[in-house]
Amino acid sequence: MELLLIEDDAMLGQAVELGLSERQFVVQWVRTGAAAISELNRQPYDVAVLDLGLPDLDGSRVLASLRKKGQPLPVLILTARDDSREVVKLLDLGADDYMVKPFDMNELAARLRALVRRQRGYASQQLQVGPLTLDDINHQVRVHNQDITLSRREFELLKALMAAPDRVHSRDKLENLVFCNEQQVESNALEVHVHNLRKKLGNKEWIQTIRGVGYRLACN
Amino acid sequence: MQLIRRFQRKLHSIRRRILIAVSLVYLLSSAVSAVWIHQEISHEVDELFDAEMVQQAKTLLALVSIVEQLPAQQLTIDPLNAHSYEGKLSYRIEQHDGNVVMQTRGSMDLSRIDFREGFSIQQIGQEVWHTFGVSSADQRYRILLLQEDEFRAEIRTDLTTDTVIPVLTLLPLMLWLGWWTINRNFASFTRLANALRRKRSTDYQPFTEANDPEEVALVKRALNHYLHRIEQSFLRERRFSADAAHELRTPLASLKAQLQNLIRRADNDEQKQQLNGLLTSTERLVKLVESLLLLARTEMPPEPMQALNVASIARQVMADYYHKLEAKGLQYQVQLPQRLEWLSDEAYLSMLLTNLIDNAVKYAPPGSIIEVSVQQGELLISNEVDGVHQIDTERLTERFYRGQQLDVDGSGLGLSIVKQLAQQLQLTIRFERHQQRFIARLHFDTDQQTL
Repeated sequence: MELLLIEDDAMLGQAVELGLSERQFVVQWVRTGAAAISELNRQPYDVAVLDLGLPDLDGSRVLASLRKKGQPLPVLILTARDDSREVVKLLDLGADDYMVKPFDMNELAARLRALVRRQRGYASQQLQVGPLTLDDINHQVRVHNQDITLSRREFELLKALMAAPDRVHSRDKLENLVFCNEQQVESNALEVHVHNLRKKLGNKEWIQTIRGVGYRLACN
Repeated sequence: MQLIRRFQRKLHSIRRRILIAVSLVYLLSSAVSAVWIHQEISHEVDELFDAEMVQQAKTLLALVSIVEQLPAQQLTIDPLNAHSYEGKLSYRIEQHDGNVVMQTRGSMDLSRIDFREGFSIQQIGQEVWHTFGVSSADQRYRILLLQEDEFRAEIRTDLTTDTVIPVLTLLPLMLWLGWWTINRNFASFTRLANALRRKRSTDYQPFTEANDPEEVALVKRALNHYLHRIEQSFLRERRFSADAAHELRTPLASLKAQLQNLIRRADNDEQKQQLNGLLTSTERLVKLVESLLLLARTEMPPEPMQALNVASIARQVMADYYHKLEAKGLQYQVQLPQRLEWLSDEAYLSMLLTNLIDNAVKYAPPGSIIEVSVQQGELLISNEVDGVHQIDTERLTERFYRGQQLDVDGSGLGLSIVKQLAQQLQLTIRFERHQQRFIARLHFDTDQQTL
């Protein structure tokens, strides 16, 4: 996988270049925004890591220029600032992911691989957790390769749980997702859907209730 | 004494001072004009009546001249009793040697008044008389016309009073009108004060100066200038905090990445162990820097507050922390309502609750229970504590205070951050130890919020 690293700090650039090279990335490292833009014009890359605080151009300008030319490569932003509005702005500008410094090298590599995979269409819109497979495009759910039929809300619920398995999802977040911020939702409506979903999945252990907090998928 | 102090306090109002000053000027000018009018009237009245005395004298002279010989014995003319002022007007005709031949009878013996040529004023006892004396052309007779001053004085007083009374009657009306006008003009200041009170602490928008009286505009300009300076220093501080974040995090990121690279490449376990020790220290440093940055960042007031479902935010924080809880064998015991609405800021409140839960998870003994509940409007987060270590609840929120459990991984900044965030969100936070539990109580003061 060819990766363009845009990072002005010498020490960090060197470390990331080395670390990613050891993790099956072919890394080209540039230290200015101008160099990044000309490098991207010169040859196609699979993915880019972009630091925001560059000496010549602001990272967001590089990103904007890239997207303006219609270059589709996934971009992961590295930021040292903690302004959440800035992050939202960048995601709106077309960034695919971001990490706040200092980051974990393994996590960075994993996220980059996921970005490339998504870009190439592998496992596109398909989620798999243990015996469960969810296809977002065809609205299909399989348990041990057996198709099951879910209502729209049950499907959304399962999708949310499968998107981040092993994580606890607060009931408020799930309610918002499943009921799309509808007003006047019955207080036990979510419980009813979870109950039905458990029945259809055939194993009640798979969706754990964290009392007073929310739910978690545990079927690995 | 108290009355004087109260009066002095009342005088601390510009409006009252203006009103009192204007009233005093009004009264003083009324007094001056009254005196002046009195003078003028006296002069005119004297002129008029003196002229009349001359006219009467001429009439009497004419009568005397056509009479050949006036009787030698004194002739007294009785009052006609036609008018009450009759007694105040008299005349006397005498021969050249002072032998009175004719005089009006009045209340007073006229012989006490001397004959003086021309106009003169004579005081006899309590009374003051204006006299006009004239001799006939053949020098045989002398005529003296007399007017008591009281007669003139009454006209003077009456006319003066008539001009002063309306001025004084109008005083209450003038006071009321003055008070109304002053209040109306000072309303601009009251409006400005209200606008200033409503302004949020992060709102540096200048006040608009349209249609303001000069004085209010002056204050507004000064305020706008001040707001601008505050905004500049606010921006400077925020920029510093952002720059510091950047400058600290980049080398730390580099340090961490290089260590991870080294660990990956380490040849033997011993080397790996040492490097892992370095990585742990680095991660502690990262946490400390993050805490310090958070502390610096949350010194800024939050975004405008909104009504938020605190219970929902608490559940989200608990969900995000569940893996740490599970790793330590802890459990939640939750008693939260579906909704608990506070006026707050989501980012700040979320950070506050995260720090409280983090603290609870850190200090709870493995296998114990962390309670999160709402009791009488207060949000409670509590964890079990061992009985060995003392907790100094007074010092908990001091920066870098770590109590006695030094083996627990922490920077001693968590509860300082909590305290600061609580202040920014206008929440009251109390820590207490109740038997085997350490309890953090977060209280939302409704009265404070409605201000």
